[in-house]
Amino acid sequence: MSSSQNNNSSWIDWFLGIKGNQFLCRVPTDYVQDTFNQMGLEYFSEILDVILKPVIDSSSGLLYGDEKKWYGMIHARYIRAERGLIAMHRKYMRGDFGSCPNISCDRQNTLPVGLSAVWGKSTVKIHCPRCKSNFHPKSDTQLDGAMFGPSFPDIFFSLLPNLTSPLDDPRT
Amino acid sequence: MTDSDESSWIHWFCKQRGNEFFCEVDEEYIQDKFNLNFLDSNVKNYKCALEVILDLNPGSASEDPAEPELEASAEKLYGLIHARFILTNRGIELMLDKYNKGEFGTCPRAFCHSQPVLPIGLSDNPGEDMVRIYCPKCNDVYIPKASRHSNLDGAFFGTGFPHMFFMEKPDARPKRAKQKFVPRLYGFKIHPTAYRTAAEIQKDVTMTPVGEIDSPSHI
Repeated sequence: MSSSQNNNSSWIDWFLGIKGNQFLCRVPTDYVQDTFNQMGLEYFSEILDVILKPVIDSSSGLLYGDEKKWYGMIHARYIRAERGLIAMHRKYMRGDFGSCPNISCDRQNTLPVGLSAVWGKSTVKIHCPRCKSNFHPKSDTQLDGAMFGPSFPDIFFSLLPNLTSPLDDPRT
Repeated sequence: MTDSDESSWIHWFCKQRGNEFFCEVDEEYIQDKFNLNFLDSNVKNYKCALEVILDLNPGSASEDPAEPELEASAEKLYGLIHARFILTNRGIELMLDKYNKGEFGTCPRAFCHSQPVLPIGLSDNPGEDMVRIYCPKCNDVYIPKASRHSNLDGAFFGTGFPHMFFMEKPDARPKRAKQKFVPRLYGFKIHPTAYRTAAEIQKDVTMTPVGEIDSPSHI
């Protein structure tokens, strides 16, 4: 339950600006509106209206509370799409997801990963492509792991193979 | 300068923010010259620094070095003494108490499930590297989460401390972590060939006979 005093921001703007949500990228509204991308997600039209409303203010009244979950599940799909991968690649290269705490990985940039695709199981972890382990993020984020999903790092590196190098893979 | 332990330099120093990893070295240990062998060549103003640590400094002697420089020497000397002390039975007892309270933090690896860790240096020579944390469950070494703990010299703890610790207290050693992260794509395990680089994929494709192209499927 919250209300925003900023009359110039949408729900997505407000949500992405919350401290602790830095891992998330912005899902374009046309992606959200495409019913194909909503397939299988339980939702009420009121939630969708809140998320898509260009400006929220105190007159928006009661928020339904599931906007975060619904946006998170759409986000998990978006970051597997080509546009989403490009956005996540930019964040990865900037180091937005933090670095690997293992000293052998020489502060390798990491990617977010969920341990489950089901909402509410566990919070997001970070995955190091060098040691291929999962770690708790250094920043105290409370984002659900399902917002990213367990497949994201492997989708990311499958589609962007140049980012890995034989020297980094202990299996070679 | 009072004789109370609560206002001693050692107690004050260990309470400083960023010095949480240190335990308080017994004054009797520091007073024993045997325990300080060869440390005088590592520290400038050795004698004065030792007096600072033991609160023996009489006060405003004009020939004393400048305060900040002397304080830095005292801190360095204390760190080097500390590295020796925590290898003794008494030191291990104090560090065990801190370990059990989780004062060194927890392992950042997800499948170690917040296992408490121990401080470890990568070198026994001061000035070479900062302190790290060692997880006994995955047997790996990490950068401490809080940046204020990364500012301590690793030599103040030494390379051998966690291993001496568990030799002395084998019951404190946790079972090794068996759980490993298995990468999955839509529920399927990833075949090792998926980890090839673009150059390797290109090489494989060009080596395939013409007419029998059977490239691995990509998303």
